[in-house]
Amino acid sequence: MRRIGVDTGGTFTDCVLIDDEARTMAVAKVPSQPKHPDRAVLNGILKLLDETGLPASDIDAVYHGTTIATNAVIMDRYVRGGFIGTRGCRDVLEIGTQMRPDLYDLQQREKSAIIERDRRVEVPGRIAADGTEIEALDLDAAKEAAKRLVDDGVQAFAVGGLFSFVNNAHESAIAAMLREEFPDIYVAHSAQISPEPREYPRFATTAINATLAPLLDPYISNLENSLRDEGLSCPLYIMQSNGGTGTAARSVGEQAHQLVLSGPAAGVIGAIFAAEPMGMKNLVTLDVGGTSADIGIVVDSRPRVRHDMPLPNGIPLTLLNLEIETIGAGGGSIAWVDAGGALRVGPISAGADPGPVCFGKGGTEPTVTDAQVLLGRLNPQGLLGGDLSVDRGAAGEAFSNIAETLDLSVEKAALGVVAVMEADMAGAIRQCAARHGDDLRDFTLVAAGGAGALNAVALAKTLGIPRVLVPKRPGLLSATGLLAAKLRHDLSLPLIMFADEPDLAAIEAAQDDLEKRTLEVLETDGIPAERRRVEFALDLRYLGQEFAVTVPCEKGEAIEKVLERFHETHERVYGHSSVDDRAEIVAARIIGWGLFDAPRVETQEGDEVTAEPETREVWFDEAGGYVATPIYKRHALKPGTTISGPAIVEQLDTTTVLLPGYGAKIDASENMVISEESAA
Amino acid sequence: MIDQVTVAVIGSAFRATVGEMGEALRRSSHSPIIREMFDYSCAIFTAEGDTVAQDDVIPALLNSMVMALPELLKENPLPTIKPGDIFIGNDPYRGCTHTPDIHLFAPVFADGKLVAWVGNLAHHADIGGTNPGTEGFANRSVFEEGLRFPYVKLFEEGKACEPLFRYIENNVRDPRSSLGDLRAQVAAAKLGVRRMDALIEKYGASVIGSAMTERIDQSERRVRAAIAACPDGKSNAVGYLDDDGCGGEPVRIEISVEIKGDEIVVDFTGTGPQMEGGMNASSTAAMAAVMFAVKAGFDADGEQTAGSLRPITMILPEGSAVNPRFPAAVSLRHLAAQRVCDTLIRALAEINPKLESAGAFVGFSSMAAECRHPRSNLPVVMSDDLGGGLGGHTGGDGLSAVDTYLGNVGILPMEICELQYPIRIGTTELAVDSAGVGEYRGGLGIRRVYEFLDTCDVVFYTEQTNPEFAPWGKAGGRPGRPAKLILERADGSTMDIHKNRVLVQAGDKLIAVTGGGGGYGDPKARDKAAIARDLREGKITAEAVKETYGIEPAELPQAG
Repeated sequence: MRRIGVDTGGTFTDCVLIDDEARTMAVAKVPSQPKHPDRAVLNGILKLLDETGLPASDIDAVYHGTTIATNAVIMDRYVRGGFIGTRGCRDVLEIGTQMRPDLYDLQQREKSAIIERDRRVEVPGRIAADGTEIEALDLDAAKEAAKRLVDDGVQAFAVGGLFSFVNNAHESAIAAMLREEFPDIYVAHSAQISPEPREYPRFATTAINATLAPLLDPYISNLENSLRDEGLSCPLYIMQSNGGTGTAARSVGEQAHQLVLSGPAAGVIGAIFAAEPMGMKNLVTLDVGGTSADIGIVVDSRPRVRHDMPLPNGIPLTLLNLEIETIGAGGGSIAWVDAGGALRVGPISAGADPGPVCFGKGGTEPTVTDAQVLLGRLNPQGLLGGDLSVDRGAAGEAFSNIAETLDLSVEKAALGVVAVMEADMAGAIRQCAARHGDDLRDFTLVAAGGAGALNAVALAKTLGIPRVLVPKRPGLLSATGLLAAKLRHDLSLPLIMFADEPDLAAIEAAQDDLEKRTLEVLETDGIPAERRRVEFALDLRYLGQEFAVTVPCEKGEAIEKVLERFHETHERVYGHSSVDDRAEIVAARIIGWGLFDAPRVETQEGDEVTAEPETREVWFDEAGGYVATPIYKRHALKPGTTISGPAIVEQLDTTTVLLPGYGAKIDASENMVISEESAA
Repeated sequence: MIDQVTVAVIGSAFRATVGEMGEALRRSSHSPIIREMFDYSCAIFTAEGDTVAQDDVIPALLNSMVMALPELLKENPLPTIKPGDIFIGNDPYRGCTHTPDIHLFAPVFADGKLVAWVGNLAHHADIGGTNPGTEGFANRSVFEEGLRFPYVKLFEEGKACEPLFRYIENNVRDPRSSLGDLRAQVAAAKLGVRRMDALIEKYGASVIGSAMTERIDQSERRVRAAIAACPDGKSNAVGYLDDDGCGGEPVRIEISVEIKGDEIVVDFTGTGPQMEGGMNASSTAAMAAVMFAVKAGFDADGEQTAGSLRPITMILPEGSAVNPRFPAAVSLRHLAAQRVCDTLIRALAEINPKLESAGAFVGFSSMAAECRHPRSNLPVVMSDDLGGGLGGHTGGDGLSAVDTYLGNVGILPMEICELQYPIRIGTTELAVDSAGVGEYRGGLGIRRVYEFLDTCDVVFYTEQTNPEFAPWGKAGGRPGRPAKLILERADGSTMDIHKNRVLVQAGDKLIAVTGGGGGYGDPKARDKAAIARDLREGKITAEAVKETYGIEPAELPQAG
């Protein structure tokens, strides 16, 4: 297999080509084009083909992680939508949870309702909690309203009714009518998009889907067409928020909103792929960029997932997504002293423009990157292999004000800024772990992104994490993660019954239905029979609880067994359980997997480090100031090599800081594993 | 002197510890009030009981533990406080908020010396007393408000005081969830002590002590600097509660504020006497309202510590509705606290333009229903709080349908209500014509209709039904519409509800309409396109456009 992964980031679009037979990997980095992201994707692929000399027809698959949906959501940029609801539903989207976006701002602006009130209507029709119809649907009223909305320029319809996850008769009837009357307008209804209880998240997810799909679908189909025009007739897979991929055909329409967290998901999968050969199954992934840091947790080689996700504007999206915590701390985070005299780092970032002072692109505020340059950790001669020149003097000057205010030397001030950011990151990791009762001593910290490896060892030290893994190419973790991801398809059906009086026939019918639909999907997606896998689960909760726990199970497994596991899981996750309390079964779930071969690249055995490293003065607090520190080139460190801190390891896309007392070893896959014990 | 880098790094660790305690508390709590509604708070204190770091989940709990620890220390001499102890308290007459908020405090020792405290509070669904859920508008004294713990040891040198657990178990309505939540609080407190021990081991007790002191000083300096940036001056505002919870006269809240240099004096002199019923604000609750205004007006992105309060002098007349004498009832203190907050913002806005806005809905329309689960027939208690409109302000219209000021609680989803309780919600919509008009109008209130499908014992209450005390307009803007609760019986008869406890039957309905925010600025100055948009969106009716803005709808610009 020859596969290409393309990950669109804010600044660069990263492309990798892995040839499983030749066991080689080729890499291309091209500037992103925020207005036309597909052009950058195509440029990157063509560059790869050009450099490897492979014909387009030799490529077996293209995998793509995109930020287009994320950006549309962040910018609040949707098509003009209309909402048709049944009785009582008109204002659900606008009232939301009734919680305030900002608790202390009395002069804040109204939050987005996604679809404004004049384009939201409700018509007679009501389903009760048990699924019975208590008011008949007035389909004529719905048709009248729809005509008016279309005249008003509506380009997409979202349809919502209470308890449609139990009985979707009303919603389906409205959707069918709309599709027949207005075949050119996209229609999504809530039981189809997100068949889960709680009207606001369900309707919000439906409205996001309806108003995103008409924007995203052309992007996906244009990309497919352009690839085809260039002779790439292979399948195109898109990364989904759930950490799996989907075919291009299944990344549009009712699935379009699944792309909202496409970008960060691939990085976590890449980390799992990098760590697995070494038997590291519990991971904390730390991806540090210019403005923010993403923290993910992986347990037993599975990323932790959640069923909902608040968008930056507070709108809840119900979809399976990786539990990734983002904090406003990155290389561009600005250091400042507040009116009380406290040193603070971020949340304001100099970003890429104007950027850190030392890049000389107009930045005037001292950033974390300036501090790292000043301390000699980032190469003061230049970054990106010399493509990016650096002005160390300017970085020093930028810190002079803060240093004076704090009555510290410039170096101590810079060191302090790094220390404060690292303390904030450590705190965020601790909180992520506390949420599930994880013991960090069982984890490996995986450094990802351009800046993760600068801080990883210090963080591991603070947090008591025994190992740090710096993958061979941390900056390409997302792009390689795309190639390592499996195809994934999630489906669920709501149920409602007591676990001690289970309706076995209903569970079986639900599981049969889910299995049949999932296998059909996998078949349509071109997954051969022997590569299809399904995993079942049931959602359970104690009576009176509102949120459920998803318990993996076998199809047709005895409910007593599942119930036992529910108590255990509840105990593990929440710290208590109660076998005496009644539990309810509230949903049946399935995951359909399409397995691909893991990408294979050449592994090597045992050379020792060849060239004598250069040295430069780097500040280490442990050493009491500047010390002549060996600077290793990562590509010169062959498998089997061990080095001791203090040291700096430089490579094109990242810089690793190895603290005194720590040692690093390059393993067979050219990953660098750092720990305290291995220091010679 | 300690350097600012060390202060910031230790400060970040304090913040993380407080966050970690919160995650641990929430993760193992039993009741939705903690797990889904986030009604809890965790903090770190100096040995003397000054807050050093606290999480920020619900504004009502901001700095709410600052008055508790000094009381604890008053009653428990130092030699009796030992490592491994955990104290329990909830007495509003010993610096706590109201009885359902159970506070736990654990001392942190280094070399045999008390060097810090960690603590947390969590709102318990019930702690006994007259009413289910403990809170009651008509409670005549705190003796109707359940168990009161005078900072006794729940754990003594690491050993649980089992008789106390059994005593609690025997006196609350839902012992499983109360004890479960209490154990979650204990786990969080123990985690906090472990983290503090580790920090002390790393940095030493004296550095930790200096970092605490400096953090407190930093927040004091931030608030002082922001106050000093406002011109000196005096202003005054008056607000009213509809009644005293027992059908009495409106209750006056009067607040004078004076800015002098970098200090503020908040004087409640003129506030009415303590109420017969349960809506009195304990002094801690009054202070929470003051903290909200201070943070919103003077230190929105800074962390609050005991130092944030130092530039502020509060004068709380004893025996008044904001500092009642023992044993006045205080369980529904949030109703008075919201009104205090509203009145204080009105006064402070004269001096600080960041707070310049019209009045918000502070009526807190709520219900709690004891009923039976529709499928299992087990007893359950449903509760729901409805928000309303925020006031219009200098930069735009007020937010619609939000839990305002000190609250930030989610609305009960219609589907969850009908699945879990014998109560069907027919509609939840924006209350048309409820917003006060102005150049910038207030936000709209909520209209929600509950249909009872079975017998339920329901406590209803709301404030701001009296038009005189509706969300006020400002700078020429008009007031928002007051709240209204109507009980429509199955036989067609109706009754207006303000604060009632009623046994409702299947077929009865409650129609709850909350208040809209006040308008800001002259309605005549409102952008015509904005009026047209409100009309097109059905947020205002054509009649109301004519009546309030004096404009014929036909004269408004068409949508373009």
